[in-house]
Amino acid sequence: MGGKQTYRPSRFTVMAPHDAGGAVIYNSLRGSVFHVREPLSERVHELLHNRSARLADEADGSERSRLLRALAERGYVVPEDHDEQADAARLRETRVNRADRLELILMPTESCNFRCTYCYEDFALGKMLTGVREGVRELVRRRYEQGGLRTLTVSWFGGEPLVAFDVIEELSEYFIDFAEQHGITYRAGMTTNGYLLTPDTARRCIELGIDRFQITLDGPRHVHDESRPLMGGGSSFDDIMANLRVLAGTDAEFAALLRTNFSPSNVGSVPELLEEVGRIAEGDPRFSVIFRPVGQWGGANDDSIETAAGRDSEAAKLDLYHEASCHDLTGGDTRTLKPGGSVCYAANPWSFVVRPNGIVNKCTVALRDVQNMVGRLTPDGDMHLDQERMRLWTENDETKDAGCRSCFFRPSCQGAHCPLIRIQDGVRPCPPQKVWIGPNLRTYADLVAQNRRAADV
Amino acid sequence: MSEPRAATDVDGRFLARVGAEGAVLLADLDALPPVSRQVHGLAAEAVLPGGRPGTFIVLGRGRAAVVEWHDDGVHTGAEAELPAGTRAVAADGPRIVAATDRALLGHDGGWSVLRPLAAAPLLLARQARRRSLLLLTEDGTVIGGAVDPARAGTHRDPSWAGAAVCAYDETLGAVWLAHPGGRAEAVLARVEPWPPRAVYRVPMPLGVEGLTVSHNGEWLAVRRGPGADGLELYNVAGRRVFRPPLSGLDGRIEVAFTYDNRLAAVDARDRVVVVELPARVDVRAEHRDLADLEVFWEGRMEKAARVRKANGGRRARAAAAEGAR
Repeated sequence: MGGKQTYRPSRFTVMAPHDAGGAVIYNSLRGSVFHVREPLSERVHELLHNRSARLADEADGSERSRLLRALAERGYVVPEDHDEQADAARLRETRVNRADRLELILMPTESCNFRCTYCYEDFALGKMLTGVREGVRELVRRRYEQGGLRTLTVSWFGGEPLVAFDVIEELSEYFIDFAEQHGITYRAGMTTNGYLLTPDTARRCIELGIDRFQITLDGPRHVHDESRPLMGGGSSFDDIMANLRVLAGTDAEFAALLRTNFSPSNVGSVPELLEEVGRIAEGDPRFSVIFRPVGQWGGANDDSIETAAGRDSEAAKLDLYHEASCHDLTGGDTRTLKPGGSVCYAANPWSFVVRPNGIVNKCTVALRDVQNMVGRLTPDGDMHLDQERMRLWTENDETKDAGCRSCFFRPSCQGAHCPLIRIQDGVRPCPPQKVWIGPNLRTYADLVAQNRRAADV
Repeated sequence: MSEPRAATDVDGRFLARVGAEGAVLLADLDALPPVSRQVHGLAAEAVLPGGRPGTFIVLGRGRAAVVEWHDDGVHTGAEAELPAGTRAVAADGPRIVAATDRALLGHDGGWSVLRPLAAAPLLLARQARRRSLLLLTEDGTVIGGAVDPARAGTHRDPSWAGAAVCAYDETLGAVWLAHPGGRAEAVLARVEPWPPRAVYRVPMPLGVEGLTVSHNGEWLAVRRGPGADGLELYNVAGRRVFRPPLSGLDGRIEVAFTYDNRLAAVDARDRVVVVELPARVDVRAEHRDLADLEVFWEGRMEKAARVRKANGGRRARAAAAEGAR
């Protein structure tokens, strides 16, 4: 037993009542979430509800003392003289100053075999030019020789990346060899519509170290095919499901994140999809699901598509997670509550989108926004970065926003949930999981409890 | 054999065309202004993309040669006599392959049979992402993985027989067939995922003589006659036909697409016009005119980048930032 200590509630702790009784407590600097049952929850509330309170631990072995120490261990209370803001600032500094890491979001093509109704891309560029592929290889080499690269992460994006699978194979073979030769940690994933992820292609991807897939299904066949048809028309659902079925039947190691974009028009049919997916992936830890509201993302049909936003959309999303758990499908959203878990990749100085023509972007959404074009990759591996534009993305965060610095969610998003919103709209980009923290915590706690029960069984 | 007199390379960056007296002209369309070079002495009749960036197969007088763009000029490889009865030629990596009525042959110093064919070839195409060759024969047979036994597959659909012309679309993983069975339609037959099947059919009045697919699959150039009047652009996503803005060109028009969605057209007097096509035409425009559409689309893109606060746009965009796919 340690000595006496005075604590205060962490400024990064929040507590939300749970419908089933008790409360959920969360600390964004630790990423810790606990469902505290009654009657203990009332005593915890008494300790935490006043942020200015000073909480003396008499180290006398009393219940209060034990409770305070338990809360301190999980970061919900901190020693009264502890500088938590410095911890949060360090978190950001550590992230932005990493010179040993390079994240490349590569677009082997901007062409796509689908024409999703809400898509914001214009598909103007075909396959990545040979000179750009050469530039990507040289960039990795340079980062190793000049920057001490230790971790290389590659995310294949498009268009539909599998349309240019030859580019993926060519560059992946290089990444694997280079990483092996130089002791670099290499990880790769792919955002694909899943249509061309046939068994032989999936096997080859995994061989190439591409073992994380994000695949979108918007509902059962009739709904999915409405919003995600082939270019010119034609069903895509059955082929994607067939590919998933084969993937699930293998003993390969991969992580497949199944994404559903929902709006009022399809949200009601998502449970039917989950039932169907559950028959393939129920209880398979390699599969998880995420749900995202359809927005006006800048596509050609923005004025005509139905979008989802606000509290109702968040509630619908959380309901879908509950529904998914009924089919033993894990939600893939847990990362967002962790320290740094709600920071956008575009805010990282070591993250770049390389387009087929060599234009270097920060964000995969507003591809044609001139402020998003931060450089141009040449065959010698030089990105010719415009540092002023880079700063728009990497320094436009909590460091310039006092509101963010005083927010309970600071360690998670660091004011950098969406630099694009700050740039284009000039407003603070609060993530939905922070705005509706109460429902999110309740859902998160429920899902954790369910998973634990499942594991116990 | 009816091969094109203009083509872009595998990158869609360099344009090759057959000029006056069989000369071959190459141009780097990424350079501003485009840089052009000429190759003499090949008596060219047609050009095809080679297996590597900046390379082309030049066909003429029953022979084939590979020409390659270099910083210091254009290098020309040794000429090879084509097999008798050659109907189609393509590049398979660094080697040239040719299809006759009876066989697919590869050239490695000399010609050797890669596989026999039961019917005459209509299409011989390189499936770049599969690193493989694709054949379609006149009896409606698709042969995938034509030179790779591990990937070989054959599928016949009699309703695809007798197509007038066809073209491979790498983006859709499909073949466009014009007028199969003499019908006034085009069929999009997917070849990937295997097995092949018709995805959809579109009405296409009879008389199509040539099809060229853009690199992003969005456009299908449909040639009905030799001149600019005989050229239409079919927008695949929007299922609409447009007239390309090629006024001023005379005689037979040859077209090719660049990787960045430009249409390069060459006329009989070797004049070249390069026009930027709208990337997406699933927008609604009142006029069937490319120039208007382009303006319309650019307007939309600008709007997308504008401050949007109404209708929950800010929060919706926050979700998009996580990868709105």
